[in-house]
Amino acid sequence: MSREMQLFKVCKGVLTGLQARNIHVTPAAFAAVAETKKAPRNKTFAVYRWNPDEPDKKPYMQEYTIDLNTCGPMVLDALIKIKNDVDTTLTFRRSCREGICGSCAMNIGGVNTLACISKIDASSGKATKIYPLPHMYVVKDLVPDMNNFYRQYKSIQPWLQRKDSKQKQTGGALQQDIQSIEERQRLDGLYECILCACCSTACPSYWWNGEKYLGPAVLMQAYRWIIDPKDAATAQRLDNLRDPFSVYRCHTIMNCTKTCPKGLNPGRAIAEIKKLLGGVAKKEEAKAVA
Amino acid sequence: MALSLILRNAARTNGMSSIIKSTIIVDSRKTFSQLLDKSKVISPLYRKINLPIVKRSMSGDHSKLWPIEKAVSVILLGVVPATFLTPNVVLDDMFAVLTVVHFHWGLEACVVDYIRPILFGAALPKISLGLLYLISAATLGGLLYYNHHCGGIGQTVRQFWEIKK
Repeated sequence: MSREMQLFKVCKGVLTGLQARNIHVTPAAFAAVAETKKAPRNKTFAVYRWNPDEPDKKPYMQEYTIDLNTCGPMVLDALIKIKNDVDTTLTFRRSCREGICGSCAMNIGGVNTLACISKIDASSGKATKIYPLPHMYVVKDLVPDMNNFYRQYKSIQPWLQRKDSKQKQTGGALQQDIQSIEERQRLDGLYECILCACCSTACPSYWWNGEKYLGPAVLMQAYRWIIDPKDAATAQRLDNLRDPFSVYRCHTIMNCTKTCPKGLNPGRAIAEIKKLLGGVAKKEEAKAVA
Repeated sequence: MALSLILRNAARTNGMSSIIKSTIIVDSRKTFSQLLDKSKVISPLYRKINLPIVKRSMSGDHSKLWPIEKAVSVILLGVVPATFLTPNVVLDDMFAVLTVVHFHWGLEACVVDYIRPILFGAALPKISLGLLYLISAATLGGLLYYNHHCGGIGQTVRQFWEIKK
């Protein structure tokens, strides 16, 4: 296996190095020029490793030291560098590398965040610890099993539900349903969620009752659809959340709001759901726009 | 180039097989989700691809209790100082009832959160909850008895300040 790996590395370097690598590794190229001036800035990352192909082996922390002069500024850059140059078996999810896809959510230095938008802590001499999202089943290394999370998201029916759509279609003339600026603004701070699950996996209630409690991310989306002025299924949506577990396992711990890499406030959304359910608040209905 | 392609694909297919293996592991473990329990057991493949949207299976309606819980918390802010400032039987009894239900709900949340069927089996969570009700009822009974047959809560707390005399 290791011989294959080495061969693989050599081939990769020789055969693809000339074509595409130059584009991707500009920091390295840049650093090569500046190498004479800069002393190496070594940084150690301790990364959680677990391989499903070796089920008898317990999860362990593996340390990688890289030179920050040859690496981009973010933790994801470091992980990619480790995967490219040091250990190709390191497994993690990433896609957009700019904080909009939510793939690279992981626990970095004790905080759930997106690796792509969290800066490498270069000032501290200590190793930065990187774990998968807490209290999730691990598929491999930093890749958690998101099935339960997505299933819960599906269960809140995250799509627009209207009663009149059929009528309007059969009636022939479809009309625009114009929304006022104020009504649109109600969705601000809710629709931006990228479902990275940082908040849900930071919530102790979600750790303890993750199979029954929906968790902050899903609940904030539930709230987003509940208060959507265009949505007509409000009563039914609320009714689905009435039981003691779906919403009411939230004890306002507010880890969700503290950790959200997008700066959103799921804690407030859950409180608003509780108010709507308890009859303390009412949904503002849509007004006709002239 | 061709060699690198083959090697790359080899690595990829290896990766694929490990992913498949891992999903099998994921499937064969104890069903984590209530949704899975409720859905009819067909083939594992079907279960993975087409998951029905099920109304979460917990019974009960907590939405009526929640405003009461919050109201009790707010009322306590007034009742507690009032009981100590002007001790009388009515305030003492209100103090007893409100504090007992307040801490009962708090502890009930603790029991539900921490003594879970997934960890302790079906019986122990129910026994713990029953025990909690018993403790709360006994506490309430004791406090009401104390209010009517002994000093009363407000008066007793005031006595702490008179220890010096």
